[in-house]
Amino acid sequence: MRVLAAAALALLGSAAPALAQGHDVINSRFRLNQFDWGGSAEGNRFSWDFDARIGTADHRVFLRTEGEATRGRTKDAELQLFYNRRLSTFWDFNVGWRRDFLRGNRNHAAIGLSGIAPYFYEVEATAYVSERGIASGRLEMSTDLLVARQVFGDNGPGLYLRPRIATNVQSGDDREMRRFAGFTDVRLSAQLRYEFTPRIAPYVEVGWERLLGRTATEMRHEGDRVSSSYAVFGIRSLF
Amino acid sequence: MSLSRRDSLRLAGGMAAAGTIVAYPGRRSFAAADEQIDLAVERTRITVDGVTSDAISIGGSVPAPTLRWREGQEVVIRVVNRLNEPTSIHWHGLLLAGVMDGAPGFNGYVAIPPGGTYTYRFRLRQSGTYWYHSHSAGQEQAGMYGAIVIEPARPEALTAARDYVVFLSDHSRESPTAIFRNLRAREGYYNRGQRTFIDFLRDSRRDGLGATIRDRLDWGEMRMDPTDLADVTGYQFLVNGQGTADNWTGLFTPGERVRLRIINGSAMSIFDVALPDLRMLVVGADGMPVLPMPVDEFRIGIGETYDVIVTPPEARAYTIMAEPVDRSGYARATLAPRAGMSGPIPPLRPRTVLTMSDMGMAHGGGGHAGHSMPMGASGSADPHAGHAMPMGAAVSIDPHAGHSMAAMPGMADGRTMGWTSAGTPPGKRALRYADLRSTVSRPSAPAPSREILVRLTGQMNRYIWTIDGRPFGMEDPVRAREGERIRLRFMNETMMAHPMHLHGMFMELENGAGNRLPYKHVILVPPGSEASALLTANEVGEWPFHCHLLFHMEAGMMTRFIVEPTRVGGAG
Repeated sequence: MRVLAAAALALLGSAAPALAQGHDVINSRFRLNQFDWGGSAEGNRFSWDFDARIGTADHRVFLRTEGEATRGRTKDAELQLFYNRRLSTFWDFNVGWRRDFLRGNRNHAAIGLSGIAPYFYEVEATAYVSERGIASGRLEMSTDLLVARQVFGDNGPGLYLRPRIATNVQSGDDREMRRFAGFTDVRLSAQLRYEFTPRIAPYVEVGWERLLGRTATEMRHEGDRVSSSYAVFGIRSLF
Repeated sequence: MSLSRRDSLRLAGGMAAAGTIVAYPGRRSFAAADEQIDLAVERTRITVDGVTSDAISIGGSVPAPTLRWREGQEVVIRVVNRLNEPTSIHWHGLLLAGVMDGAPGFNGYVAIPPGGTYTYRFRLRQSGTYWYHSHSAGQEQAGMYGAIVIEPARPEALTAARDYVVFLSDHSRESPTAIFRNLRAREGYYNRGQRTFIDFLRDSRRDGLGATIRDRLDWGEMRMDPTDLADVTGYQFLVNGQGTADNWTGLFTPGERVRLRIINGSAMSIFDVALPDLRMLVVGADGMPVLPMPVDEFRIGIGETYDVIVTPPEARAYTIMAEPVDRSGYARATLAPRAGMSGPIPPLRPRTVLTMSDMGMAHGGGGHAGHSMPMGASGSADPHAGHAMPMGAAVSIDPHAGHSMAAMPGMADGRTMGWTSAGTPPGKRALRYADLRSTVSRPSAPAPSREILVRLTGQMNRYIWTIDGRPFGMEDPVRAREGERIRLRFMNETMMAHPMHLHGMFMELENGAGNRLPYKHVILVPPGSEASALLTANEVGEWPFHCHLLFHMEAGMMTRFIVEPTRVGGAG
């Protein structure tokens, strides 16, 4: 609660000077992870992934939204709000709420871990329970491989390759959401990003996604595609 | 100085009023002080190499005016705060009563409020080269720093015809607040030397694919970055407030002895300092005299000072080079027979990459070290951290051990390997801590009665820096009884070097110099290494004890060093 109040103060710009001797300085960070356009097997495609973080080194509040539109129609859109607590050197504990928009407009309670696994893999593992009582889980892993520095004679961090994997699993059928028990989908992607500065980082990305298990079977029955690949270009930014 | 003295005289009448605000030790009136000076702290703009940016000045300039005093004098400094935030001035390295030390929150000293005045008063109990700076938030990095030169009461053995302060600093156009926010936003935000896939290919050609993969996996397993030498880049590097193009110049006549008082007053930059064509005679370290030691270069941590004597033989320009360890630029100045001259600027040396042996994890030839735990890999939360390997022999680790002279064995393909590799040219000699020997021999110094372990801990990914895993505010203070002789054993569990500074007392660095251990107020503890120092706790008070990397201190890498009086009221 104290953190939330402090976070609110910081948002209003009335927090104490950020450099105080001590540990509990409140900082904010805004990150546009994905903001891209391109094409997929289903047609033109737009996606976003943005998060805002505010808090101290130990206690933070995260707001994250991501989603995707295909052929001008929003396919997925969700919002997550987490309280994030430092657990150990490399791991955080998250607890909060997720809301899926479109189709069923589901609310979920969320609990999970995020952090940096050995070899600098960023990992986020979250368990959810929806308002319909269906448990689900999501795992995301990615890493940034620095390919080359200062390719354009600039003074930036350089060219990164970012492979990523994301998958979802759930305990029961949610017909309205068109997701069924078992693994529902997987997405593999590779992003080639050039950071002129951490604030300005254009990228190209290719990816492949596939519905899995019963979800795939049911969708195929309905005549939907179960796999698709895409290629996009976009911009990433940290500020 | 003359301006300040005139101001002091003019304001002398008004000072009695200021004196009533502050209780200070001593019975003398202001009029009895040997030296008086007024210093205003205010926002200003400074121009470095033609680029103007925001700064904070003390006494109207960046750096602040050099305070030239004499040992034994009683000095009075009246500081007026013209900022809209609290400020403070700390006298770095001076022995004085705690309340005069100028660190807010310690020894009963309270930061000077906006519009307020604080009158410092103390008797100079030492001589040598010291400095003064703000101890409030990011103000020091904004320009609040200056040199203190205290002449000894008795003349020195080695005199010099010229005496110059060479004040090294780093100036950023970003505000300290913005820098700190960026450091917290992403690990390595400012690091522009991280290893790439191309480096991987090159290293594979040199070391073999297997060894290179193993090296990458080792660092990856620890989740540490071997290229993290300086957390912040984008600095302009200054000598006496002047940039590389401004080219601060000190004049000499050939054959004269020139004393250079080199002070590292930067926020985040550890420098390798050399005069490429001149041998230096190191005569002082951290203000205290040492037996003269000829060297070609030295590494200077933040807060350290070295006094050197050079004797330029020819009527030409000699360059003073100071390269930060991450080689993100350089500071230079010139010694010349006339103003307006400049000497050749040597190419920047290669930037080093830390190795597994820096972290105590050598693979080949490392003996049992390779089986040791990855030091600090799990940071403060690691219950086994206390078992991290004892590095080297009983004698404290020397930051330059084994690499002091000759061609760098670790140099390869434009990159040197290991913290100690300064890229020293063949045949040149770099100062090692082990070279420092106090002029004062203390054969009867008592042995320490106990040892205090000081673990230097941190988490780069979150930009949390701590001592013993505890940030300032939740610190577990170091405690000693007045007069107690103790050993401080530093154990650096991180992959960065930490210049550890103790206020109020000198530490005697255990560098193998027998009964001539050098007195230091800053000890630069290399990555993954240990160092130790002896100390007689003869200054009662509650002293700051912190990493002098400004943003490490800000992040929490500070504790209290409490010296308790042996008797009640024994401090008097």
